[in-house]
Amino acid sequence: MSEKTLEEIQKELRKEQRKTNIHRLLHNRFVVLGILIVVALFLVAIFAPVLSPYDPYELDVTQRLKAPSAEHILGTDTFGRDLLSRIIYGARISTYVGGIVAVTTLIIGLIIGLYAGYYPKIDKVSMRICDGLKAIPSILLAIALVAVLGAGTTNIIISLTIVYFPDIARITRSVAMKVREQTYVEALKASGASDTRIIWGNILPNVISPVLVQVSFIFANAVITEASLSFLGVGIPVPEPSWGNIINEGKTVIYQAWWLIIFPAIATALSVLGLNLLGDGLRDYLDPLSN
Amino acid sequence: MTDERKLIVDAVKIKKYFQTEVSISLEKPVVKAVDGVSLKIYENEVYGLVGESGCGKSTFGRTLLRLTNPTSGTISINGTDITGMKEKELRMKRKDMQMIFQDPYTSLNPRKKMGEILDEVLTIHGIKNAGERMNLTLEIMEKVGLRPEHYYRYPHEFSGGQRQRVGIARALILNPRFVVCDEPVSALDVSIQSQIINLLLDMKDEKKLTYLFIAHDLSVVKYISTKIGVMYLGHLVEEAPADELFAHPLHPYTQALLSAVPSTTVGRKKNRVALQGELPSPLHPPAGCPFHTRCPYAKSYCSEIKPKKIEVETGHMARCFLYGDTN
Repeated sequence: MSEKTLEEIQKELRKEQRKTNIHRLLHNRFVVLGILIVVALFLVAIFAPVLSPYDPYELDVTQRLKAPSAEHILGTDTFGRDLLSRIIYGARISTYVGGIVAVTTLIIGLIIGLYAGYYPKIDKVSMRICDGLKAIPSILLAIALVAVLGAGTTNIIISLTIVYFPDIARITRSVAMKVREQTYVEALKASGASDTRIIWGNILPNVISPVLVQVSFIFANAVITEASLSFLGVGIPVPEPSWGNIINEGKTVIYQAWWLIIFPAIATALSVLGLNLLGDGLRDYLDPLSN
Repeated sequence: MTDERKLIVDAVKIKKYFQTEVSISLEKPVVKAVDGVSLKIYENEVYGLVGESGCGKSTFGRTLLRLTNPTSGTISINGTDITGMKEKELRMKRKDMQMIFQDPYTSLNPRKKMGEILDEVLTIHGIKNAGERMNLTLEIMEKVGLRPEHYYRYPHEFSGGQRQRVGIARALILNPRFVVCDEPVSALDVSIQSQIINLLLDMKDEKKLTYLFIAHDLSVVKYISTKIGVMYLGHLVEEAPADELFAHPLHPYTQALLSAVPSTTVGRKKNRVALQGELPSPLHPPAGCPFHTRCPYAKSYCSEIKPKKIEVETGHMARCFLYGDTN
């Protein structure tokens, strides 16, 4: 058993594993669909200025409430602004808010959850806070927080983070508590591992897959909640385009201009569907025992 | 005779009490899992600790390594008192004292490859060079009978015996002086048991190890141990060299345990001592001798006074009034 043969074995095994990993992920058709939708959403968000045919803020009174046509593919709104351009820019807001909220909830939730799951004392305090936050319906809590903080993108991100981090913290904590009791954690202690190593090196990998799945759902939920807040008029302030406030504007003219509600709604539903499919796929993929 | 050898483990009056959570009454009930056990283990010795389930033998093993802190008593490993040692210092000391766990299915992290599990132990103890770690890992893997290609496998791809080999490799990779084997073979198939036991014995000779071998299977203990301690309800009731204990069991509990071992000799009728009743709850241990509730020879004073440790013959101790003064 010389060094070289081992290295060869190692290379071969890694290659093989990489191949099967990709196969496994792409095996599920819905996952592929989810990935495509999410990638498309991100591309649209990033290249919004290039993709949108008109300036989303440009008013044109002569073109008010025009039905979808070759000129305005998805029609125009009450101020004559191009709906397609506004939806494309809305995608930008949605992914920005959803993405940042996903990251902030992940970081805060993971830290709180891991330490709460490992140290019973931290658990008692932090989980009561999370319980308190979860006791209030999320949309109401978000409205209340925005009312306190004031409207605006940053404040929406802050309030959505407060609304959703308990979800991550709870899942992390429950898995961490289960893992903490495992014999292999005791074995690590017996080997002289520090708490930090046990938490971040050994509990975290067990937590990460359910949490990543949850993060993708939180992304989806944040997109919906942002749209809801904007629809209710407490989210992204007009004239900045958000799927929620486009629908809000459309609701007053629902009998004259159906497209103002249908298209942003489809955009919202499609993004949420894509994110959820991706989450489901991730769950199957990240669990090494499920294949 | 044995005293000339180096003392590796010196445990003095170890007590481990667990506070039960439920407390309807004001006084909190306490489970006396280990109640004043003292023992000495010398270099290269295999000390077999036997007793039925729930007698506190595993708790004692874990307490010896300070995986749980003792309620009272002192523990010295290899001449160092570790009872009051600070966490940080203790973590470094742990390379001298290791543990092999009972269930190889839960003692390995399912998300780590075998190599990573072993590699991590070396990282903890400050071996920074990845190549060196790999060499040491492969060396120990070969010694415990694993092939190099197992390095990149996950635990679920292994059989119980192979997993336990990894558990052994993890314990031995740091070249410890003292290893607690907590029923290392009881979760394995009989055919695998002997392989693992022989592996443990080979490793002991090669690395000059000292074992505390916890088990309830007497035939296994007889085969592997040089000295045996019998535990009952948190107390060490008898202690003797292995052959001596099997030839002349003194304590009534030991006699009952040994008579329960199936005999392989045809036609020989044994006097079977069948124990009556159940193991008393360690929440409410009997006063006096812990065994008096089930002892066929119990006298009235047995329920009042705790018998002292009596050295009946050289190296053969028993805690029973049958062999000495009644105080």
